[in-house]
Amino acid sequence: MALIGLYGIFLKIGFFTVGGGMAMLPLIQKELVSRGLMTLTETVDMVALSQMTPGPFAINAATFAGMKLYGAAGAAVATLGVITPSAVLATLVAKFFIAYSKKSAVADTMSAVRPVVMGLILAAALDIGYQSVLRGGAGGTVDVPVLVMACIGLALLLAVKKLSPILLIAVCGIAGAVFLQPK
Amino acid sequence: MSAPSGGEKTPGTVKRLWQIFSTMFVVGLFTFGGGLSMIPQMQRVFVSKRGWIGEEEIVDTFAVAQSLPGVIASNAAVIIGYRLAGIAGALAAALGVVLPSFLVLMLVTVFYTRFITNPALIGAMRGIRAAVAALLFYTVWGLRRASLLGVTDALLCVASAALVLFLRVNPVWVILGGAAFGAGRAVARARNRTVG
Repeated sequence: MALIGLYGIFLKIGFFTVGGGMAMLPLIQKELVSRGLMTLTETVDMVALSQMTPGPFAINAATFAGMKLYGAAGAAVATLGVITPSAVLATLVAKFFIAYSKKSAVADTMSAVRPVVMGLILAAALDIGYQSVLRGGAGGTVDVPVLVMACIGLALLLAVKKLSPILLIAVCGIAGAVFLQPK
Repeated sequence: MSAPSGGEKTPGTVKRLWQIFSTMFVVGLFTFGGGLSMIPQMQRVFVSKRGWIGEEEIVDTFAVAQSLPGVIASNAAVIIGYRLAGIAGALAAALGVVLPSFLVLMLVTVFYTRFITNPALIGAMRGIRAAVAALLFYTVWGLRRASLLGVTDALLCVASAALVLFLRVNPVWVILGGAAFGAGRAVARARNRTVG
């Protein structure tokens, strides 16, 4: 019974998470913290952990919460719950979208959406860049080694054709583990 | 490619599903920062390396994925998987992109307090964020030809970035606003054509 409840909670969280993982934080607060299923400290830790582990924030958070509450079964149920809306809605939309994407009205609409998405990627780049280069938020000090690393990374991407993103992430991760440890 | 082939039970289908699953698994394993941070890798694997889908299709997919309720990463995976191999492809893609997070978190949750305070891991994350920022800037640069076809497009791009960054508008509204603008522009053009 508890597992069914957990599935329901994460189904709801998955459905109402629109526009990105961080949008689920208020829902987690409402559904888990206020019901006493998770403490505020655990929520803060969960955000830190989800950002330090690969994959979408929502999946990481669901697995963490499920695992803490009911072990492996809880992790599986919470994860299934949070992706159910995607699996159902995105499949329906994919069917529709593929069928109509060649129609000129849809194509015309998408021609204005593409620059918007590009703007969103630019915003994400500036946001992540800002967060990683400025230590301690606004007014904080500039983290020179991180800035240098990002610039070298960008230069390499522009210079070396078909440089693998995975390789860049792995090399920067290892370099960070060696040289960027907090003192 | 555009017609889903999920119904056929040829040996090629199983191989295709495995390719979709394993590719998405690797994308999931190396995605840090969520959602849009997947785009550079997806472009690299699905567009440049395998040539399964076009560059604009990736952008369109993420526009739809981000506007729908649910996790952006699995929405995008489902749409791409469906396009490549129907319902089975959608499932294979969703499973692939979710599984790395699921497995890693199951392991790490047990000793997470030690994990999030480990200096080497904190250092690694600072390095990885630098790489992700570089990758995202590079993706924006790479999209300029496919996505920016004029001054209006450039303005749309800058305005969208500003709305999200400075006014903290939910990206969904920004995308829907862009779609409304595009539809309105198309209607206006059609009307001009019939009048003139």
